Amino acid sequence: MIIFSMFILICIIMTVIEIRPLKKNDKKKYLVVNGSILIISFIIFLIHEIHNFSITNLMISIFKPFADTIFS
Amino acid sequence: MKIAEINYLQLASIIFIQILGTSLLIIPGTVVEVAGVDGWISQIVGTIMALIVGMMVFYLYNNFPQDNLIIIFEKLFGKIIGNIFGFGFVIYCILSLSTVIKQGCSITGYIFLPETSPLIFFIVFFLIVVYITKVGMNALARTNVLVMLLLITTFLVIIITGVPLLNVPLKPLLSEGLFPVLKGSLSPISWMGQVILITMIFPYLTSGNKKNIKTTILMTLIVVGIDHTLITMFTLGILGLEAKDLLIPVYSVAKLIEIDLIWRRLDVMIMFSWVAGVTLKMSFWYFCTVLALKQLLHLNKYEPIIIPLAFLTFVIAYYSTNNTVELTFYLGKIYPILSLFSYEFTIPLIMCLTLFIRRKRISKDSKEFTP
Repeated sequence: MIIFSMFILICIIMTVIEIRPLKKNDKKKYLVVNGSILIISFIIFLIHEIHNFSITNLMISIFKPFADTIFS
Repeated sequence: MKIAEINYLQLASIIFIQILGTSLLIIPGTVVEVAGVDGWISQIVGTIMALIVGMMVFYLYNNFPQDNLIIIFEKLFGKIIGNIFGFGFVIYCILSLSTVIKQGCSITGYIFLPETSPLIFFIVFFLIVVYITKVGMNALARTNVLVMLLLITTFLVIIITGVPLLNVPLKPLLSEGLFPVLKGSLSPISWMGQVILITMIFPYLTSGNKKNIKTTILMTLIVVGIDHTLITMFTLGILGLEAKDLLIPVYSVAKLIEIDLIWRRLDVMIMFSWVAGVTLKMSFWYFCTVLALKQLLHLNKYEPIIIPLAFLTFVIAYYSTNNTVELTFYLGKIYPILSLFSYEFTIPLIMCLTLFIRRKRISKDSKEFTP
């Protein structure tokens, strides 16, 4: 959790540094995009911490019937 | 802004590293598990199918030499459906990249540094990938050429020094019919089908004529196919069907080889080529992901989204499979289905058919690629 928070902080700082020289409209756009990406990361982190469930598990559960049919 | 130019050798090296960066060590195991002793025939079938994907990539390049995949989607399918396909491509790239990262970190940790925390590998690879993506396509292409030479050397050394160890006959041939061979070929096709990523760097291929680019793509795929076939034959010839139970059978082969020339242990060379290959593969996948998202969201430049998107991808990778057994199952059985039914075969096929049917009505003047 500590390392995760540190990385989020680094991402925020780097975003601010990168978008500083940009125009106001562009700044808003990048803030929205980067903010959304960080929120998605946080959601994935939370889902894994609470339910121990990952996107790969989701893929395995979706495609396992097909895999069983093909590779049986 | 001036677009970096990629020459034929660099294009060949990108395709080469893109596929062999991870497959060289892993692919014999996943194929032998399904096809048994006929694994090497599966590799030949896989190569032929991959050439079809290569032809589809070239067909798209021939018609849209100045556009990348996201713009091609929009030109072929219109704004709404094109954006849906584009968004799907970004998700596919993130999922595939997270698999590559997981492979890189797990195998490096599992084999070479078992006592080191996996988090260390993720952080180190994260920093390298972010740095290479920031530096840009030109540096990535040049580095690919160097690492390609390293991979070719490793491959040749394994093949030449492994000859005296060959003791298991590759017989009986096709004892269980052709069906296991075809099933076994799905894994090599999914690996070699990753050539589809080249569609993201079409605008960088400005220096060559179309015929030479077609030859480069197809010849590189054939060379990669020969590499896959030979490495599978040697792994089978040395380890036999035991290869299917090993996570990295080629590494086990390398450990058996002893040479008394400059150095005795070949596994060090394997480690070098694995780390270099997997890092460049991750970087190229990541570069394409960032480029696709930038194009999709109409952003002026991609630098500000590099770090947050890398963070998302590494979070997905870190929390993907729980152990190497699950990873092997995912790579061998799930990923081939996921990739071939999406962006590595089915969607390019739909694109080529749409292009063939609607080629006179495709708009030529909508969007343009900006680096």
